[in-house]
Amino acid sequence: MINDPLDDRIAGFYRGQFLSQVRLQQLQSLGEEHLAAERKQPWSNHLLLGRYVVAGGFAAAALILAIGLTVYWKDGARHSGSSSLLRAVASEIAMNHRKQLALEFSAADYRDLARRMEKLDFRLVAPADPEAAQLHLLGSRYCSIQGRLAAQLRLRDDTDRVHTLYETEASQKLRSAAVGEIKVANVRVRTWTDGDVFYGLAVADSGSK
Amino acid sequence: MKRRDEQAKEVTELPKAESPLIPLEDLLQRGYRYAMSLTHDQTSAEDLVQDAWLAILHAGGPRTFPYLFSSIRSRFVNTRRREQSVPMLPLDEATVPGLVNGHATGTGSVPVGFDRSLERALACLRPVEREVLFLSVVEGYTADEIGRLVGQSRGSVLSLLHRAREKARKCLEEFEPRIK
Repeated sequence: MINDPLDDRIAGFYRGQFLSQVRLQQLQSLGEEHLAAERKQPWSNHLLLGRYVVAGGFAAAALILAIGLTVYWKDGARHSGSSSLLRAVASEIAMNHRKQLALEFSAADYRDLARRMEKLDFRLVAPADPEAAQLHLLGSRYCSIQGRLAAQLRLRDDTDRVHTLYETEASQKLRSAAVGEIKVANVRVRTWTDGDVFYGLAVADSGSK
Repeated sequence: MKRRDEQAKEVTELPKAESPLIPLEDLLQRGYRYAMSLTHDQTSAEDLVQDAWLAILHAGGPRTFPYLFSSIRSRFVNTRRREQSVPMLPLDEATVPGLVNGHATGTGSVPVGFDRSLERALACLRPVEREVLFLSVVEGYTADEIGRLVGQSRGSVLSLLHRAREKARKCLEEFEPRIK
């Protein structure tokens, strides 16, 4: 089979085509610049990209781990702190409850007490809490909780059991950490906040006096 | 056919793997000729080679003929797709819109001694027809290899080659009635 003359002409036609010198030099210089840049780099672009990806992965993992540990530590510390603070406050309330010191003010009305206990730096109000609200007020005296001036109110329930209600200004520390219920030496102490007032209600646990 | 393939291979062996020894000028000139087969226009071919070359450099791709050809081809097809809305014609060979329709529209300058008749005859062909002719005749690709590059079967490529030759011959006869 002889060569097709047409193919020869086509081959000759295309082999006679050349990039213009200007364009060829531009493209060559671009290629040489890239080659030179690659030689300067210790790794190829792909390796560099791979290293960036790996480094980024490690960085992300480290960041996630750090955030996790920080959250865990802070959360643990907060819970631990709140638990210890609640116990400290409850112990203080329980101790005062057991002392049953003499009342300084006798009153059956919270507004009367609020007017008479003029040293208080917060507004003494009747508790809205259902359990505390149904107790009968007997009187009060000044005291302190965690170094803050407080009102110690004596109340009794329908069975003549004595309860002690503490009110003080709800500091940020008390508000965030000392809310809960705890039993300290046969005294059940429940704490809560309502508005700007921190409350602590203590009563002898059932079965004890 | 075998003889033609063998002869073409002697001229330009199809590189199967990257060779770091490929001269840059050789790579670019062959890329340009391939682009010429697609566009049939010097300026467009130069732009096409430049775009493909820049893309390869930025991607850090291999500087091989097949890779450059593929890059040129994909850019040509994309450009044609953007430039024109191409109806999906039921052609039995190539179905890539940018390669199927449209004749050469370029007005690039031609050197002195240029085979103007053949240039006009090739302008009658569709890009895909010029492409397979170029790959077979100039680059020495076999029908299988062309099929892999253009995404067609070997049979379709052989059929396309045959029809491209016949079409080119017919066009040449119009421009050169004496040549057969």
